[in-house]
Amino acid sequence: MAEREQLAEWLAATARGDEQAFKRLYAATSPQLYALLLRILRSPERAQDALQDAYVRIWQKADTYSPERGAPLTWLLSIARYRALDLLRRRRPEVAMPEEPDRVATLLEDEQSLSPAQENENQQSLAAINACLAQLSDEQRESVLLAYYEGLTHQELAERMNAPLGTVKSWIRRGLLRLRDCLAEGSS
Amino acid sequence: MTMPEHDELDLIAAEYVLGTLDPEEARAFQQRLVDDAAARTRLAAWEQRLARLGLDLEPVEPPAHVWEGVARHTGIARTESAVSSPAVAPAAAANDAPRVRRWRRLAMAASVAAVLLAGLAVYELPLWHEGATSAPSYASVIYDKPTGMSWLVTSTADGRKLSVEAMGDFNVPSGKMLRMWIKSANGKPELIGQLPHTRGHYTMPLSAKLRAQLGDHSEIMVSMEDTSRAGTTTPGGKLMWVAPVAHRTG
Repeated sequence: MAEREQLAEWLAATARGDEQAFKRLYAATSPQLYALLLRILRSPERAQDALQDAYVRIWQKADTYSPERGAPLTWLLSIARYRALDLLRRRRPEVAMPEEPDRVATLLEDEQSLSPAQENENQQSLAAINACLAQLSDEQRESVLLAYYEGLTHQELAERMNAPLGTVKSWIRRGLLRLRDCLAEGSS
Repeated sequence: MTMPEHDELDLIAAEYVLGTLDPEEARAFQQRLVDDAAARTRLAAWEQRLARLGLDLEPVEPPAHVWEGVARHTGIARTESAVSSPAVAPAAAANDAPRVRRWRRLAMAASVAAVLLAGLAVYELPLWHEGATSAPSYASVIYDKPTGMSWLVTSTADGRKLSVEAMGDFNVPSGKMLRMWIKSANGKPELIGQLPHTRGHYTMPLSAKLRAQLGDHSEIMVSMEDTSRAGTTTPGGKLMWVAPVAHRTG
C-alpha cells in the first residue's frame, strides 16, 4: 500500500477511535512534525509541548480529514504549524541566536529509515516547490521562507529584512501568488 | 489597481496559513471559514502548498515522554509508552537542490542554530505546562462538532485548580458569554465560571464546593447566556454542550 494511502487509512481509523492506528500514525509522522516544530519554536521543550498538543488535536479532529484536504502528512504538518504559531504569538523569546548552520547538519544527521514510495512522493513535492521558489525574487523567497520557518509577522519581517512594512507585505503577497501560479503550472 | 475578489480571498487564505495576517484579520478569516466553502477550499489548497516546505527537514525522533503526554491527554491506553521508530517515517529532503538548501540556510540559520542552544535559553513555558508535574485527576473534553472547536478541561491531582485548553477560537456573539458548570450525578449545576472561547490555556482555582462535585459520574455543562446574567449562579441560557468527566489514573 502506498504510504499516502496508509496514512489516510490510519487517520480514518483514528477518527473511529482506533488507538492502535493512532499510535502507528504517531510513530510514522511525529519525527517530521517534530522537526518542523523544532525549527519554528527554537526550543526542544516548546517543540515537545507543541507536538503533544498537535497530536491531541489530531486525535480529536481526525474525523474532519478528507482526501480533498490533500495528503495526510501535509494536513498533519499544518496542524502542528498552527500550534507553533499560537505559541509564538503568545510569547516570542528574545534571545540572540548565533548562526551555526554547519553544526546543525552534524546534529541532525541521524536519518530515519525511508520507504521508497514515500521518499519518491515527497521528493516530487519538494522538487516542485523548490523549482517554484527559484522563480521568486530573492526578497520574495526570503520573506516567504522566514515567515514559514520562523513564524515571523509582517512587522517582524520588516525589522529582520530592514525594509518598509508595505514593501515586505508586497514581497509576501507577490511571492505567494507566483508560488501558487507556478505550482499550478507544474501540476497541469 | 484593485485586485480581483478571488485573488484577494486567495491571498488572505495564503497569509492565514503562512501566519502573517495580523490577529484581527486572522480572526475575521476564521469566522469566514465557518460558512464560506470557497474560503475553506482555498485554505486547504494553501495548507497543501506550503506544507511541502515542512517536508524539507530532516525528521527528528521526539522523546518518548511526548507520546506518553499525548496518551494521557487523549485518555487512550498507554500499553506502549514509547512508540518505536516508524518503518514508514516521512521522507527527508535527501536530494534537495543544494542552492535551495543554501537559501534555507540563509533564511533559517538563526532559528536552526537555536535548536542547539535551546538548553541554554530560558523560555517561559506556557502556563498550562505548570500542571504537568502533577497528573490531572479528572478530565473532560468539550467538543463542538459543527466547528471542530474543542476544549480540554482537566483538574490537577490535588483538585485545587482547573485547567482549560481552548484548542481554537469559538465565535461568541456580542452580548453573550459561555458559562461552564459542573454537575454531579445527583446534584444541580454549580457554576465554575466563564469558559474562555479564544485559543489558549487558562487556569482557575476550584473551590472546595466545586471539588466535591467532581467525580466519575459528574458532567461539565456549558451554556450560552447573556452577559447581563453575570453574577447569577444558576443556568439561564441555552445549553450548548454536556461532556462527561472521566477519572484519570495517569
